Amino acid sequence: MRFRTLPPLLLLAVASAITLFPLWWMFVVSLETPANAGAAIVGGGDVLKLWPEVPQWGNYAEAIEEMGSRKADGWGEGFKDALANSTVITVLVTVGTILSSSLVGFAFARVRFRGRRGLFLLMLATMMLPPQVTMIPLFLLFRSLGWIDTILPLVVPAFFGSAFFVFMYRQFIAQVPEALVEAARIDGLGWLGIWWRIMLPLCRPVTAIVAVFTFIWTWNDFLGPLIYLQREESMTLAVALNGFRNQYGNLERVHLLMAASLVTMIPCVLLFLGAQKQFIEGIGSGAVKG
Amino acid sequence: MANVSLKQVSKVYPGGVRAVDAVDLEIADGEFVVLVGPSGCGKSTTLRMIAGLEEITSGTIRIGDRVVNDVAARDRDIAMVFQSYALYPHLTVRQNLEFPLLRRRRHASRLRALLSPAYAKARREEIAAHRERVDAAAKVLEIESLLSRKPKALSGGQRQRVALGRALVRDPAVFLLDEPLSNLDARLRLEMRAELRMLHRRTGGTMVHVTHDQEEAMTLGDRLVVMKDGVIRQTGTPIEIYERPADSFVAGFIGTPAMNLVEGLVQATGGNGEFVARRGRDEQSVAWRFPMSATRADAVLAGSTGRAPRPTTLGLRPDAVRVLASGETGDGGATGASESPASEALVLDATLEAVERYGDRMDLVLDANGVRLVSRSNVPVEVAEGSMVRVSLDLSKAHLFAGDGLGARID
Repeated sequence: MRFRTLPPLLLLAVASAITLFPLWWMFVVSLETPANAGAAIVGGGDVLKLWPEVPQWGNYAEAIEEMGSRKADGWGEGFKDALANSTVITVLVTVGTILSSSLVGFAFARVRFRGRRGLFLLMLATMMLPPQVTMIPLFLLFRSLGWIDTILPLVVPAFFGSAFFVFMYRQFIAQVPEALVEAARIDGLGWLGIWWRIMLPLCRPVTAIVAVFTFIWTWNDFLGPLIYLQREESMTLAVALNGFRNQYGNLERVHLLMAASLVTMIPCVLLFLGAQKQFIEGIGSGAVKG
Repeated sequence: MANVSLKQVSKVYPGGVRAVDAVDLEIADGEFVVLVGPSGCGKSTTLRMIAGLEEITSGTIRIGDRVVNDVAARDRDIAMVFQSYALYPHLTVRQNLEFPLLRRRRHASRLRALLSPAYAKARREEIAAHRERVDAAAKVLEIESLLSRKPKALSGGQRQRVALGRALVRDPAVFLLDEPLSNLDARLRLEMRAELRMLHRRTGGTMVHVTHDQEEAMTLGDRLVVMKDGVIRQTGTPIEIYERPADSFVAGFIGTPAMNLVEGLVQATGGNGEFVARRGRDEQSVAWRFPMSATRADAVLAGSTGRAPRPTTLGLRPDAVRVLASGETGDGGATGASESPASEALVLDATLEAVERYGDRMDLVLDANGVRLVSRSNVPVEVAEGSMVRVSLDLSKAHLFAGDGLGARID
């Protein structure tokens, strides 16, 4: 190792340690006995323990068992429900966001039509609205459509694009050489064909970013499912975690909350690790250069 | 294959810029036509209008006997090669070559293939036939070994070949080539130029090629179309254009090194006439003058009222300007000037400003009393830069152009 690389490496190592510590602490607490976990929270015990005296791996099985509403139907049934709900909603929202945002971004970048500039600005302006402002009108709208207690209010809006991601796609597609579009036109593609066969494959780096962020946001979304999904069977994991807290508000069960939270995090972590290569590829290679 | 016909085709951009102005052009079936001109002359716009990538403001474009004004690019049966190659970066070379064929499949549906064995058979045959076409094109262009690579992994020359291949597999009515060689380095460009000629001979296709490089245009085209400011200045074979340029722009644009264009005026002197070369921009200052035959002077002066002196541009190819060896007089001699009347050769004193050596020939930049002249010599001239030389101008090879803005040729 060259001496010059050492100071930045040390700095990064310290920063990483600081960033990772809460995660590690969650993991440690999830393996504690109820008494020690409670002590770690309120203080009085060994707050900054790096490893429990006797790791309680059984906490995880117990946490899964306690999750959701259908504990009585057998081990983990409630957890399975919540997992399935979260998966269906998250996958649909992610796919919908990618398809609609890239299509709209492509249109803003490449199709010349009257009012293009004005519409684009209008779309960007919607980003300035805080979601709290639209929450109640949206609820009333979806209620009048009879969509309450279905996943539709959570999923359908994703198929109408997300302003920020539309913007990202537009910026990326605007850099794709015009000649590529023209070649595709001569080769027989229409606008939809160009979007699907040329632009979407070229936008992989953007799509990776959109996919990861949308997935994580949707997976961890608490407010949306809480508002629109009222039956306990249709709960998502994020809401189920909250149910946990209410039920075990007394801090002696915090170890189970930590265990359940860690289990809930796994898909996001895996996705992020998987998409990392795409991120780097997107930055490093002249993917667009004809 | 088909002919292409443009009638009074114009392109006016929304800002009012007239990029192409009433262009008339007939391109015969199987002809290799090169549109050439400086950047911004409208040559690319013309090509793109033929391709259907640019709407035409007025006029008619026909491909074969079909008016294609309102036909979409994909239905015009044309293939285009772009300056930037425009290969699809996410597809392999084979997929790039196949791409234009995908839209032309008549048995494309996988679903129908599952339901009907006859359809499945037709589909398989079609795929095999297309595969063969790709293989054949790859063979012609010698890119067979690259078929599984992505464009990123190809050199500039290889990308160019793939781009040509993509045009070739379609077997289109017309090939349109938009500066396809200008992103290549000089050596590769010469190589690909020869290859383009060969390709044209092999396919017999109608080709329309756009370039700003007059040398490329001269060597490639059966016929050249020289454009400037959206207007066709001259159309003809390379030799016609070289030997009889229609105006002073074409004269200066075609040929390397460029033709010497000397500003001056023609005036009557007694029974004959003379050309008075101007010194730089100064109207009054005379650099040198030479006598002209009465017929030639008459041809020039016929264009001015009352035989008043008429501003004229004298054009001389660099091979008509010869640096004399010491002791040589200039009339007669080795260049064949003996065939021309002695009065048509002019001997001047000049300063040798610079020498460009090419090995087999050399270009000499001269200053003849304030007029810059370039001479091309096939025999070595052993004179130091900065020294005085005697120069013979072979005026029998001189071109005369009107000294106005258009600079039309005067015969």
